[in-house]
Amino acid sequence: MRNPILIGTRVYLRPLEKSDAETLAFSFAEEREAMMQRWRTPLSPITWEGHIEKLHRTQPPEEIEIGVCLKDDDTLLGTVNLFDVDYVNRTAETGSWMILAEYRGKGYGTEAKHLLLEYAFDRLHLHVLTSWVWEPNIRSAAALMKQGYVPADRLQRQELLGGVYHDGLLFDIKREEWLAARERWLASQAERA
Amino acid sequence: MDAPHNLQRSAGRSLSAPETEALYWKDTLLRAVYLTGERVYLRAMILSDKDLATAWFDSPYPINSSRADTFLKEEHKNFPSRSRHLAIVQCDTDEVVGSLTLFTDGRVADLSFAMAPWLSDADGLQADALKLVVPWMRDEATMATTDFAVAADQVQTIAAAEELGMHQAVRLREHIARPGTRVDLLIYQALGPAWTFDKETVNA
Repeated sequence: MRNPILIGTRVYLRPLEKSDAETLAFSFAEEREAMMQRWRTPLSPITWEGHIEKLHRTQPPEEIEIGVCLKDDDTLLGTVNLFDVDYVNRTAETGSWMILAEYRGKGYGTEAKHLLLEYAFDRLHLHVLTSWVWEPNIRSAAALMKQGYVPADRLQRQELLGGVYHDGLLFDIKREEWLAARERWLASQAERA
Repeated sequence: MDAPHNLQRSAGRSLSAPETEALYWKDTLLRAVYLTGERVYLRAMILSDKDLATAWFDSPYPINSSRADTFLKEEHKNFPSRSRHLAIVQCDTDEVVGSLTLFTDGRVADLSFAMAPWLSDADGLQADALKLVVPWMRDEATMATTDFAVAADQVQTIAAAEELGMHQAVRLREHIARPGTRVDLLIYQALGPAWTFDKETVNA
């Protein structure tokens, strides 16, 4: 493992390095689904390098994006994010993206998300986190509910696609709700084993 | 004419009558006539606003005039695209009491207010500013939706939003820290009536 921040059973979180820029750019070129990103666009490694440099330029950072890697061989599977980190009100918006399609739907993303929530609540001591989901992205909304997020209702007319407006669904989560969800998730993992 | 206090303060010295008049008109001529209410008006920001940055800069951290100068120059070097900043100014004193940051993609407008931390009536002045901005965005610019977030204890702003026909769309629990407690954050929306191109009509 390289420079780990938090270590789980199968994955660990680490800071993104400039050397990840090409991997991230290749992954964007390989994206097979339009739903996750709403629409796809190729991104240059130069853009990623600049983004990664910017992420680490100021302390404390307003945006935190952390790499999700396999413990076995350090493969970069995706990233998890805290956007708009507010150190006064102790809030942030969460996000996650599994760049390698073959690792989606196999529980790696859930494990990484629980590590991100642990980082947010127990390292940064944030009080409440939010998440925004584009309404048609039912899969992400269901995943959030499983991770303990609570619906906070919807913002209408947020995204336009195919001439039709779609709503944005908002969720929030407090530490005790995350802990309860993690317990449930750990119990289900133990049952499967 | 009486020299408004903020002009004297910005200059850092006593001003002669012609100087005061020149500065006074320079500021007040930027007052947007269509964004002027009884207590506050909105105007484009000017470089001398750097001397009262704590009134309008949206951060609890200290900001000095040098940093504010950089911010103002950076944010205004191009014609506005997605975001723009306007000063909220008190009508009777011409003193900057806050700012509005407006994000828009031409269809959706997102409003963010920052009010001077020393004001005793920040909520009321913000409510007055909201009453100017929402009709501008919803009715004149015909935005599909105009959104803004408000702390649940800002009762005058909430009352103004509801008076304007906005509806509460989202409640984020315990999102705002207050001394010794926390309050919810509410997101209000003003849906543009000119837009009939929503999913209900398309799917009908």
